[in-house]
Amino acid sequence: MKKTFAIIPAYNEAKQIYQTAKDVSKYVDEVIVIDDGSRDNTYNEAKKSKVKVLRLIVNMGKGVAMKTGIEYAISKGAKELILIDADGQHDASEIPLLLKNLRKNKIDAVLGIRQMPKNSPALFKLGNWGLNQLFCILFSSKVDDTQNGFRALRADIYSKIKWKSQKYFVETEMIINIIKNKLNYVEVPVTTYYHDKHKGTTVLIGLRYFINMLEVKMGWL
Amino acid sequence: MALELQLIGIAYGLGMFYFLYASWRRHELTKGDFYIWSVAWFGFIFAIIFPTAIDKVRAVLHIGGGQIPFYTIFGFMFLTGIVFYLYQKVRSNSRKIELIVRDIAIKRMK
Repeated sequence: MKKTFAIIPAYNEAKQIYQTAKDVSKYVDEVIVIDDGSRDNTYNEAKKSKVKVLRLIVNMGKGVAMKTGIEYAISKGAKELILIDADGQHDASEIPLLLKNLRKNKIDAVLGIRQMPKNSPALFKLGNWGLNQLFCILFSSKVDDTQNGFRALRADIYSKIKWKSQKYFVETEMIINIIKNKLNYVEVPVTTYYHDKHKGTTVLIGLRYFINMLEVKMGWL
Repeated sequence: MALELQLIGIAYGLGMFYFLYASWRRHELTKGDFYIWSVAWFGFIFAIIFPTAIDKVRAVLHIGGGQIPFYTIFGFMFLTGIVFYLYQKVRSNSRKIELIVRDIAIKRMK
């Protein structure tokens, strides 16, 4: 039997984490929330949803939180991993769609592609488009959404795609490692909801992504 | 005097480069860090050996000629050494903290 674990890194997500964990738990065998040193009540809210909660005692970044959760899941026998953001921007009912694609022959990873709401800020759309184009140029691979956090992976590929990034670049670095290792992936459109207008990638983070991509390309990271 | 100062500066620059190389070999720094800091240290060594070659830079920075630039370059080298040492320590400690924090999180679950 497939053992599917969902990994939810959470930082200051007290408002959303209970509902997200509850929703996700309907579609997987186990849910692991990693509280990344939140200053709010994320840990207790996540606990209320009766899922496993790992707590990083200080805020280390999404990359470290995901690494911790995945390694814990693998130690508990995970065969398939669902990665999903804690802020409720993804629709948990689409998890079966990702798993269905993952279970097809020789697929190692399923990458969600966010369908941007029409009212998304133009700068946000432009930034995403620009980073995706840059990714295509640098790594000669077309990926429509390099920064989306909603993914499904086979657990046995983790050792090949393990990242060094401690923070948000983890998603892009994961795809780069998938491509470098010639693993098979498919992209699937997923629904996106934005609950908080003030969250998300800023221009500075976009610039940091750009520098990180160059570093990886040069073999400097 | 100038020659002795040059020799001290070169020795200091090479010593810092060795420290950089050792940190990189111990995986405490990335290849990118290694290249960028190498440029800095060899830049300083070049400036110490050929002080007249940086006349244009001196003009822009309004630094006078003679022996004063040596001391100025020395000052920059010394400060850069401190910055590099702190940078290397921050990177190294960050990785150590990551391991400790992850270990604590998993042990508390058991």
